[in-house]
Amino acid sequence: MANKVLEVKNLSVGFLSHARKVHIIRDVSIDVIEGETLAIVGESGSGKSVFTKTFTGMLDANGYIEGGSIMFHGQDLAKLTKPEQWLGIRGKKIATIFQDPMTSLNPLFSIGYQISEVLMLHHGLSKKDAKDEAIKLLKKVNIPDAEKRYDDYPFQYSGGMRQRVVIAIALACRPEILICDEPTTALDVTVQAQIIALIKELQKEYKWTTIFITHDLGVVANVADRVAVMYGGQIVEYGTAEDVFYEPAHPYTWALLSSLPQLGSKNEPLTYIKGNPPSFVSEIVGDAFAIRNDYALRIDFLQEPPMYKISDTHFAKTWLLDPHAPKVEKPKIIQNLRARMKIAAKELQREVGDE
Amino acid sequence: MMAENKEVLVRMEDVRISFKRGTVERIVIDHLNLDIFKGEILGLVGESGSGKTTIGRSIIRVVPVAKGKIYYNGQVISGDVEKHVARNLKTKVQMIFQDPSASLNERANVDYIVSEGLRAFHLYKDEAERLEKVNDIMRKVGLRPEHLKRYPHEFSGGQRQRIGIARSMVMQPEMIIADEPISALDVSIRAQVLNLIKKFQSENNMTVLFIAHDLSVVKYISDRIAVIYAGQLVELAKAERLFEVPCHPYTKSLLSAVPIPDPLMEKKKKIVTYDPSAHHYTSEDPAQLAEVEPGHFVRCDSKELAQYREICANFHEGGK
Repeated sequence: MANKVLEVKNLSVGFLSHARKVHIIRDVSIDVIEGETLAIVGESGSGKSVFTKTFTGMLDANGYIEGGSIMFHGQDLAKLTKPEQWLGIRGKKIATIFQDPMTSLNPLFSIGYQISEVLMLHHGLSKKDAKDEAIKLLKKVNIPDAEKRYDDYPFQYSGGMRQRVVIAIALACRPEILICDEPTTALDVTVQAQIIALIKELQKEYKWTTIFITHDLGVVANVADRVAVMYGGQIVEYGTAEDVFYEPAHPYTWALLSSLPQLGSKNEPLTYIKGNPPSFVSEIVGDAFAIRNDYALRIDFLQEPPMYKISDTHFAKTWLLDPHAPKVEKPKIIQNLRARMKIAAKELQREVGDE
Repeated sequence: MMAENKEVLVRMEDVRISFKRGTVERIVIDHLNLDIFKGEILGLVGESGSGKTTIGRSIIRVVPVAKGKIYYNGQVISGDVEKHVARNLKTKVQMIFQDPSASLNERANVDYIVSEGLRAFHLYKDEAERLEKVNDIMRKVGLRPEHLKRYPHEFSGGQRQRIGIARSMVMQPEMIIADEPISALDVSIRAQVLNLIKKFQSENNMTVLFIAHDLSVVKYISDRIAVIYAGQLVELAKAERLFEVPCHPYTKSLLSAVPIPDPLMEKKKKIVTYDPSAHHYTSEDPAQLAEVEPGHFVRCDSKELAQYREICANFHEGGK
């Protein structure tokens, strides 16, 4: 087995809200393997951003780690409390790219300054060396006329270019882990494709590990080696991309895949997940997805299912996998996902080929 | 221009829209000729900044037209028009916006938000009729009448978008301009909102201008698709046909970028980038919108036109 770069064990995160404790991350364990791209998928409010924020100590002021550990090079990140302790890790070893590049760049400083600042701080370069290095980085992320654009301000850049700059800043520190928190959601399809291609290309060169947070399964299919599906503050299923797309085991994953517009045919309404995600305000009993789940068993409402092992790579947290559970077929619409997607790809004039 | 026996609801004729900033005038839409048929869903796609939203806004007179004319039901609605024409248009054409949390008044309860249009145009006899209309539309979008007393922040994103839809639909519009109505929503909620828009459209034979950048969604919902690039209409065709034989290189690049939720396939994806300088348009042979086959229009010069016509004809013969 490959090296684990990050080991999360039984992590729980709580938030204080109106003098009440709410549990946002509930007992999550997963290993992140060196050099892989792990995609974390889930709806808004599933806890996917909060989960990864614990890796860089960036929880909001009212959030705190209730228990569990995050092992990174023999150090437990969950135990770090003082801001100074994070200095050598946040940004330097584990960097994050956020959704909206306009809010992660400072509108009052030039693009060039914002990159060279990082280089001076973390690598101790002189002002001039930092500038040369920053221009190199801008070229690396394909900013045309990097020398000229060095002195421009964020508002003079387009959305896609700004996101490239944010990537350049992350690159400056040569991080071991790059967390991409919905980096393309604010961008349109063509730009999204370019940014993803850029991240993948740079990953090959710099050999970092990517944790990619998104709710877009199309993006997941493109980037992910492994996929973790989050729901109600827990990872409910994880496995290789092929496991999760072709052999999904959790009813929530079934529902997510079924509601893809690519699976819709013109004259029928699209399948969707009824109800709303859990609100966390009330204590969650049993399986968090049970009330929205067409395949829910009685036990789902009473007791939380354990994580079942399906194969060496594939795990899912649903009572349906229990030996005593009735045999249930996954929904028809996703049974032949491969074939349906091949049709969709052909319609898009793609080379399909046979593998 | 379009030789189909369909009634035209909105006709845009050689429309130019420009924004002035000081003395600088920037043309954002130029030479736009577009017919929107009664009862169809027309998808409008293009990248951010291409002018899709501006086109929608020009129809509801929020953005003035610098040149050309826009007709609604045969009547000119662009430029200076009589007050009653503009007023009438406001009741007939409604918008659905992208971000439901930004487009709903946070300080008003749902009852007020949904009935604001009814009030402004006195579309009810008495309080009882107003309530009946509001309750009815709430049920239709899948919300409960008791939600009326609540405020937007008490709802989830999907519910808020349904309030936005209820507010538009309560006016019983002839036409809806949906400006990226699902881009800000989660995957699972997108399907619900799409279903809802489609349901209203087919029940009331409404016309929908559906603005989006995601072709997979547009394909599912639209009858025809118009592709906009840098303020120009570059291709217009029936939804299926556009996917079968995309002609314009920009359409091809858009199609190549659409993500397919299939890991094995998606990892082999090759992105085609569009290079506008690849066209060699000259003043003698300028690019214009031309019909390459019935109902299929592409912006091209005469050389490209011949080429595109051949591609389309060949596709008919069953081979690719």
